Amino acid sequence: MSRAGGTGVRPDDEAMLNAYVDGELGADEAAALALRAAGEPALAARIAALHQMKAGVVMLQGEAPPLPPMAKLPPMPAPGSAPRRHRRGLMAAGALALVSAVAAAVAVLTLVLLERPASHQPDDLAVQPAAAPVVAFGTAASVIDPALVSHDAWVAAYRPGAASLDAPSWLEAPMQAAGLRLVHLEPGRAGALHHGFTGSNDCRLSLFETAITTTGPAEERALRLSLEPSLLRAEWRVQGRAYEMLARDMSRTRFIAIATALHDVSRERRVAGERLLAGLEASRLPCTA
Amino acid sequence: MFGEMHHAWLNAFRRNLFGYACALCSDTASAEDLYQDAVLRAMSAHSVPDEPRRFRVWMFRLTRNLWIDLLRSRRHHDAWADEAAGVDCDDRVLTGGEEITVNRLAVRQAFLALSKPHRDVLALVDIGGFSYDETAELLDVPRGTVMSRISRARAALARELSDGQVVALPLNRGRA
Repeated sequence: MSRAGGTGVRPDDEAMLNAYVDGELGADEAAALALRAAGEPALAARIAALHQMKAGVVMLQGEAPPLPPMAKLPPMPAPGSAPRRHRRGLMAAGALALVSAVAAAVAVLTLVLLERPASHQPDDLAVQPAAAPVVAFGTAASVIDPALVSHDAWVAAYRPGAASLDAPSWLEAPMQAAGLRLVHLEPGRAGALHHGFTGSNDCRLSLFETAITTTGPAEERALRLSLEPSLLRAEWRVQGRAYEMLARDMSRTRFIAIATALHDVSRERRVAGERLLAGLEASRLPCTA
Repeated sequence: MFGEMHHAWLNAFRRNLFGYACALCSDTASAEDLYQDAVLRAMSAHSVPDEPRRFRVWMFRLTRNLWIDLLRSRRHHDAWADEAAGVDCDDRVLTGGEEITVNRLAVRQAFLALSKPHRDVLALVDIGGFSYDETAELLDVPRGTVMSRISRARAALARELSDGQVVALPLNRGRA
């Protein structure tokens, strides 16, 4: 089988990587791939890119028009019996009003998307057009990020030697395998619970957990990774909770391994399997702080 | 017959369904038309699945079939003819695993540049939330075909994002 690209990933591996990102691999296969990625930075980067690709497509969902009410509808004409335009003319006036309302909503949505600042935003396409405070950081104007503010404030205030805290059972095993211990646990901004983890090499990692309280059905959001030189970020939504993970001075491979593992175990809050834990242990690398 | 139960199920995934319509169509007006037509056709149907998963699959299949009919009526069926012949419309040399920082507008541009079969399979899995088995059922192809199409579709999307035709706007502050 010919090799493709600089990762050494074969075309059949490519399909398996995509299946892994889509949660379509069995537990053993997924754990084996996570273990392999822990030892191959290029493979880990490839997986991260696929997660981003998936999250990018997921973001294309827009606000859907409301459904017409369960009123008696005029019968649909037989296929081909009337032109498309004439069929629309047969619909109730309410349908035309619905289209107008949708067009107006789409115009607003488009306007907000075009004017949205080029900075990190929560992945929520139920667009909140209300203005957020804008703070200049010496470069481009940007929006206050509550999670990042909480993370940086905790890191600035942290003193080595802090006592370990009891981590939630679903977090304890994977974070221990990753070489991190919980030293900070308190309500953060915007209703999130801030877990602060530290490692033996001064790694600092924050995990924010927020219960989703929207009135509509809580939606799962795919794992989304942002891996900039000075900030590593992972976001996902499962089981009615939103998660955001932040670190500044951690190797990308280690961060990806932890994010992928937590994303996996958070789906059902289940205990992490042995192979998953082995993958996390294998990914331990010194932090760059 | 379509009842209150179906209405409630549909309301729960209408965002996914509309997102699917947006992914299939190149403009919002067409997506709205497609979505509305699909909903009204469903609500007027005499035989509707009474199990939530089957209903969801049925709803997406109905939407897809309406779209195919529309394409054929507009004589824009080249992509489907190619698909039937086994030609991959975006089949070029795979790129390496370079990291790509994306944002919403860039992804939308790149997504719309994909072939229709690639947009279709990505929309079903990523927007519709269907499993590979469900997607295979919807498309009436083997699961292995879904796996390979997803892989090629994402590779094509990555190429569109990195080939310079799509401008990736800065995602985070301070990034040019």
